[in-house]
Amino acid sequence: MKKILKLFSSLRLTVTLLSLSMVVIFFGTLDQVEYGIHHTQKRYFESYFVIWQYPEQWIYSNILGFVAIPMPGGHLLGYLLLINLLTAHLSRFKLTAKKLGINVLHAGLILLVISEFMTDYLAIESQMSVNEGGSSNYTFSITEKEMVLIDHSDPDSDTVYSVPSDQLKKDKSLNINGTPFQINTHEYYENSKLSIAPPNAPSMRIPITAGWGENMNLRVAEKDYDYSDNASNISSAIVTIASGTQPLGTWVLSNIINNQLPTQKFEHEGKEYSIALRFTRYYLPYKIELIDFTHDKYPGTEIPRNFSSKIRVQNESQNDEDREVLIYMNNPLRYEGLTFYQQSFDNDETTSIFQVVKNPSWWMPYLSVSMVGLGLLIQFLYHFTKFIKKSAKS
Amino acid sequence: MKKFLQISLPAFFLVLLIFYIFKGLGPKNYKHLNERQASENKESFDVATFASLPVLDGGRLKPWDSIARNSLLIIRGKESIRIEKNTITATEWLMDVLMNPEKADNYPIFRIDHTDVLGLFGWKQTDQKYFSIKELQEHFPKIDEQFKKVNPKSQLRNTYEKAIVKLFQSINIYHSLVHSIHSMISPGALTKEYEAFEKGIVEGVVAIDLQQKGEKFDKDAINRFMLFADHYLELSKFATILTVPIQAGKSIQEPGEWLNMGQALMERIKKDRFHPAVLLYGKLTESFRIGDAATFNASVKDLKYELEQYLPARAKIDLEYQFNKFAAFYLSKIYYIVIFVLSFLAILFRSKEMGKWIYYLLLMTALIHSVGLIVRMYIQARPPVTNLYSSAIFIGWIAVLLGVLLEKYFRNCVGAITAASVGFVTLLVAKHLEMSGDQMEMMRAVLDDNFWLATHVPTVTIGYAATYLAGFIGIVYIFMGTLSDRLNKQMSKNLYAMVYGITCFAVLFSFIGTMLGGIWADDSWGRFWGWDPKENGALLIVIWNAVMLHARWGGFAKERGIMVMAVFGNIVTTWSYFGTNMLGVGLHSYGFMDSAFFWLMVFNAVMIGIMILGSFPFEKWKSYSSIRGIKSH
Repeated sequence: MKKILKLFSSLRLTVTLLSLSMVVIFFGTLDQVEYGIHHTQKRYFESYFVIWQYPEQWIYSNILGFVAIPMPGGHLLGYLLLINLLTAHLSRFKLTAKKLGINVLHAGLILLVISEFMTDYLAIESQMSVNEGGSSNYTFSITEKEMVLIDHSDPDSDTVYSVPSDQLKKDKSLNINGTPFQINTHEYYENSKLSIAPPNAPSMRIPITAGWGENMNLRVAEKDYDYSDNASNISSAIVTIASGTQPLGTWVLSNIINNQLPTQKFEHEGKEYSIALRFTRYYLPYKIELIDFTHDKYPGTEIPRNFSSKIRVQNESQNDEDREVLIYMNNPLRYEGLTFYQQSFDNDETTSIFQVVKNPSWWMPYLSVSMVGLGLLIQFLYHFTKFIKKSAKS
Repeated sequence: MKKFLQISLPAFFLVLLIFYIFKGLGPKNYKHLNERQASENKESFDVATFASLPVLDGGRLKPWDSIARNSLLIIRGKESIRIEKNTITATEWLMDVLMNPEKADNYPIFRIDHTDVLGLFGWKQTDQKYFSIKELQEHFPKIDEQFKKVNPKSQLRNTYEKAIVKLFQSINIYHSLVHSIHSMISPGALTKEYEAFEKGIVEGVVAIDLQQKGEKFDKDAINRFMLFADHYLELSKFATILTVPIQAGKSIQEPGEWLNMGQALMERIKKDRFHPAVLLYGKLTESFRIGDAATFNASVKDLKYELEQYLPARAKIDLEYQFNKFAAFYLSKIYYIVIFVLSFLAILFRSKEMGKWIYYLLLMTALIHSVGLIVRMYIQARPPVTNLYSSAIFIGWIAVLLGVLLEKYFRNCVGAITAASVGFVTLLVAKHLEMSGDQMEMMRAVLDDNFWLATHVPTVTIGYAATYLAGFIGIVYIFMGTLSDRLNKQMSKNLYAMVYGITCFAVLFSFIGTMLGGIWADDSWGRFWGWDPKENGALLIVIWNAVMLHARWGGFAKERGIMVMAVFGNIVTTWSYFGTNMLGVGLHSYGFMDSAFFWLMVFNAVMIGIMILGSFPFEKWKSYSSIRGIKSH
């Protein structure tokens, strides 16, 4: 037991783990060129184990293509560092002036590592897009997708049933809870190409019997997933919806259909439903209206000087709250646990896009960073004054 | 070395430096321009006033002098031209381009190195590297055609594509300059031309009016008017530099409304008179072309007075001109070489006497470097680091200040030699970065926040500087120990203390700086940490410094190990500082660099070489016996 404790609390382990984390960070940065930040972050920094592969795009990849470097992932290193720090301090803790800075600093570091874990597990990033004059009551993910079935029978409000896209697996069927329907997934592609086939073209493995897929004679082909950060991957699914044993039809669902064509609908037992595959939406109990978006440039140039959105928050659940807010660069709106940042714009500067972050642990880095900074400062000043005194004597 | 030399050598350079400072502050002699009309007329052209006329370019108010230097630096890679033993300054060149393009068109200024680009024009790689616009003229269609084929993603371009883009941009800059202060119909008789245009407007308007009423009208009058109008419209498309103000500015950020010359000429159609600046620029051009310095000088003063009415209160156009002329960073760069050589000699000859003088020399050079940095901040009204260029200058500055401190306490010339090395290299890098354009450019929206620019950026940059300084001391240690016997016990102990102290300093600043960056990111993008390349790079520096310190405390690395590790710190810092910018991904890629990749690799190879040298068995070191305290002779 003592031996294990000694190993886990050793400086040798600290140095090893820190060196390994440098390796992971370095290769995790390199891979971003090919796979984008989001994907790389998941693979390298939010994982337990990862293998770096010599990229095909690099020179001499025909000779060096076999080169692969296995390494521990960010989460594994994070946990080990946490154990290392905790055991080291628990077993060697001393409250002296000489060690004060070190203790504060490492306590801050422990908090910082924990806060990064919390962010990885708890934070949700999404976006909101609002047109000038329009409003929105939901944010949407830019990576996660969902299949939705919407019940329109209530004239006041729609009921949305959502199935995360990772549950749509080839030739698997699942019940949509709360409805009489089952979905049978025939195909699901993370990225795909939709095309219109000529009328006499041979039919597909699964014949499409409803919706735009049938009307336009659509064909769906799989495409390689594009990991770059501004890629627009088109997800598509071919699904059959059934009620009990009776199939209601086979549809092509795709997030590109939502943008370009009216919603696909069907009727069952006198109720109207619509179905779609779309970026996962998170509904809010309030709505945000965009009054005006402005984009200033420096005179005579294309260099952006400022982006700002004048918005109106309307919240019926909060005493009919209704107020105007200006969101601009480095000045987000923090509201009801969410933070709205000016991200970008679209449609000839008439649509404003906000980055919306929900991160319950957002305050933790502030605290931990202050602690580490303070600890470092104490330690540095302690040694520096000692050095000055010493050299003044000599 | 003789005692006399040990004192007089550094003292000589110190006096020389003071002499240069006063010379730099004084007026400059523009030989090239004034030789021409010296025989006819004793008065010389008032270049200084012309060079400090304000214009609006890239959203920023600046003197013509800055445009001249930036443009020539981009086009030619140097701030002056040499033709048959004559040196033409950037300002003189610009005046020829603006007012006497027929002459300027013959100056060989377009630098072409790439064999394939030369081959495109049927030229062989010879001694000629610089070409005039006249020589390039017939190849414009080819350049245009090749430019259109270039990969739109700038980080994926090959060297040929980069060379084509650079040539295309250089030609554009040149054309923009040529079209920026007067019409090109009759540059020699602009006053007459503008009068004719005014007459043409009156007659043309009458004729058009009649035409619209369906009455008899003078078709020639309309044609004459259209001839001018078409040309001026064309002019307004070429000129990117705005030279005519129509609305006064409020601040540096809001410089007011300015027009380019084509637009200003067209304005006459709506207004009842020309803007005085239009006529004065015309007059300047006419008098310059015939060598009439008296008229030129009178007009240029009027013009300056006229333009200054529109400047916001805090614009520092004249100061910027003086700043350019003084060339503080150039002077510092030269002196870092001097200090390097002198420190080398001092260490070689174990001269304490020389060390004292070197300290003063370093102090003086640091002062000039500081003046440059502070004046730049004052002109821009910004914190010290706003882009890659200013970060290079800042890194050098911090390293030099730390070097001064080290020198003050240790007096072993190692602080001086490392400070001078870092200072020189960073200023060299800065000069190279300057070739990509104006380095006081306006800040993009995300960056336009003085609070974070004043906190996060300098702190993290100080961390870079300190890590470099520790790395360079490591290099000195390894070279001194392996290649000479000058590394004795005391020296070795001192260097170790220096590296340790600086690494502590580096960890403090790079950590606080990186984390402040996280807070800024949380404030503007909604995430504290995004694993963006630049963030990761900064984190690597923090971790590496932490590894060094823990390795020392754990006793895994002793004196020599720490030195080798410090040298590796140079690689880590360079990766973070430059390497990550070459990746071209992430929110931080605004600091994008074109192609320093080669030099980055050379630097890394050299560092690895030094690390290997430092890892040679101790017994093989030339200083082995002196470190052990054994007298070898």
